[in-house]
Amino acid sequence: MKMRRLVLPVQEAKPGMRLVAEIRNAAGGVLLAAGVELGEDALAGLRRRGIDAVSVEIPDARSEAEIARELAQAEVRIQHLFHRHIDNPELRELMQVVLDYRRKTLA
Amino acid sequence: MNGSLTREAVLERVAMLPALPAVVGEILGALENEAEPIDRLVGRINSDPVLVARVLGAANSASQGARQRIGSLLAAINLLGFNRVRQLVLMTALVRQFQPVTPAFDPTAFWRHSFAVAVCAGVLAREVAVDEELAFNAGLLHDIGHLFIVMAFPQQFEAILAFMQENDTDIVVAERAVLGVDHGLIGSVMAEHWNLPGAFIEAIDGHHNPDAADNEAFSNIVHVAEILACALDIGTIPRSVVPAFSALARAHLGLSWPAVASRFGEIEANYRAACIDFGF
Repeated sequence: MKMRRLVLPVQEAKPGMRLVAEIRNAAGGVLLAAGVELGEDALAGLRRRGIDAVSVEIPDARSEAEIARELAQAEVRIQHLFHRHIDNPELRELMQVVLDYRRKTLA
Repeated sequence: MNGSLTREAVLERVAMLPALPAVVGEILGALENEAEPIDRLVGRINSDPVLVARVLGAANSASQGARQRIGSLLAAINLLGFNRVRQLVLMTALVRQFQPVTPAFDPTAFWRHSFAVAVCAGVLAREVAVDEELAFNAGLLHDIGHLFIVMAFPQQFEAILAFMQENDTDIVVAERAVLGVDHGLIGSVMAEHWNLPGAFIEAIDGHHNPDAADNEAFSNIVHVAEILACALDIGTIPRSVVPAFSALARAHLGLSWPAVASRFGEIEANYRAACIDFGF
């Protein structure tokens, strides 16, 4: 099955999921390396340390049509959110960065 | 509506606000100093049964699937971490003090927006190496002036909403037109009235007007955090729009959008994590 990279809230991460990016604490020290399989204790330890997000890979059951629809909705929404700032180069850059991010993560 | 209230009249009403529960000031004060010993935090929370119930409730909903229920504060802190427990206490105390009943006000949307800005502020703070927890809590508090307007001036609040829709404008523009002051200034007066740490006063005051602030890092962070939260569509409502933006605030922080983009996934996940823990 096709896989999809996601950053999940730690409460939604399940034991057995594999990290696709390392996790660092506020001081920059590595708490867990990429490739590690998450266990219950590791997840509890992350919570305790105030880490709320984990990058994992999960099966992707969406059809091509669903993905296309999600992406189209996201683009319409971004156009609305930024509609007052069409002439502002700074915010146009941010809009482009958000669009690129959506295209990458929704695909 | 215009001219029915003076700026002074609004600020006088703020001065009549009851004090915040002592525990909130103590917790926020402790943030500016070094890390607080765990037993002191436990003692503070234990003095207030509503806070105890809130923290235990969050711990138990976070520990779904765990073998046993969380019955003690110490176990709850152990599960949720120090910072999250402090944030829960802060928010619970504010929710208890401000319960506006104006139909036009949606408390869930208000708090979701506050979490979104808090999460963005925390991530930006880490990116520029300033105190992450202070930034998070400044984000959580940044719109307290809005709560005050809704509660103290419900009719004017409806006029503010109408002004925004008619003119497709930011809320601060509408507030200045209707009240003569905006929620940033009101919030900073509230923070001063409550003796909150200076970083909060600055951040609340300057979050829509960072160029006028004395280039304080927390004003800039909360300002950019609010833009980012809207841009990422977290804590927003259908009619939300990215508000006016100061490129100077971003430049002062030394942040570039592509650099911040590498943290977008983390921001979205952190936001969902906060909503789960806070019960929204």
